[in-house]
Amino acid sequence: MSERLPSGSRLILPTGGEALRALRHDLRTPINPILGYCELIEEEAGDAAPPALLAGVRQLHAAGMQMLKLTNEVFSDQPSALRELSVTELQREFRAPAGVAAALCTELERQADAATLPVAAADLRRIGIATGRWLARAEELLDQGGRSERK
Amino acid sequence: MLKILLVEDDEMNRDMLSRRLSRRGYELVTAVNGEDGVEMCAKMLPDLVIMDLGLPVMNGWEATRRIKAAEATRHIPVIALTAHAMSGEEERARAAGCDDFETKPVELDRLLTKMAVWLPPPPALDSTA
Repeated sequence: MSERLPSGSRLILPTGGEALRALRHDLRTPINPILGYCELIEEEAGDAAPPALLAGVRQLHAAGMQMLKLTNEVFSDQPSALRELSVTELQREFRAPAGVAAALCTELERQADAATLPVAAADLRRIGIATGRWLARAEELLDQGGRSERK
Repeated sequence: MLKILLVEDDEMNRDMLSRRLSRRGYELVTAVNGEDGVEMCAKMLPDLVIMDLGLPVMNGWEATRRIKAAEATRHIPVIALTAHAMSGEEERARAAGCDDFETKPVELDRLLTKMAVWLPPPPALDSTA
């Protein structure tokens, strides 16, 4: 297990444009299927889907948009209020929408199965996987960025 | 039916976008890296290419250069599609020969609008699909 970061550690991002560009790319990539599959479920399931399922998918989409906002603001060369937070606080910010999305995926997959919508259920599983990838990569980058201050 | 070549290495992105475009009446063919993309483009002669840029084996910039260098494929419009979304990315893509540029996450309506610039009028939406 890795050593814990001191509570006040600040995020230090690479100053080279190419390195920051790569970090941002890594995090934006899994958000594309999260948002895209949400929109696709609405398109494909349409009237066949229970209203509660569609409402949940919209909440899932909103969580994905929050993940995108965090990615764009934190992994950026532009100033942002979020960049004033400690790494520990940023980790909490990143975990929040991912936690909401993961919980929704589990619940909505169950609803899709119950409504005999196997394609939607499979797409919700994929959203769950993409959410896990996004959070794992974000935590890794935040951890590295927090440690770089201590070198 | 208009044929679109989607060059994308990420399985989820490939599946999601090809399904969304198929629903709008396009015929989709896919390639998983830049080298396959160049080969498929020459073989299938699609009406348009959607090219991810951060690809394995051969990246999307080089694949686009090769498509645009070949007599048989240089007329085929290429739209770059990338999660790289910082300043200078569009210029870099256009310098490689891309005709247009779109970022991920995909805003489908915006992508369809850009595709429409380079394609004949789109087929009718199949609402029963």
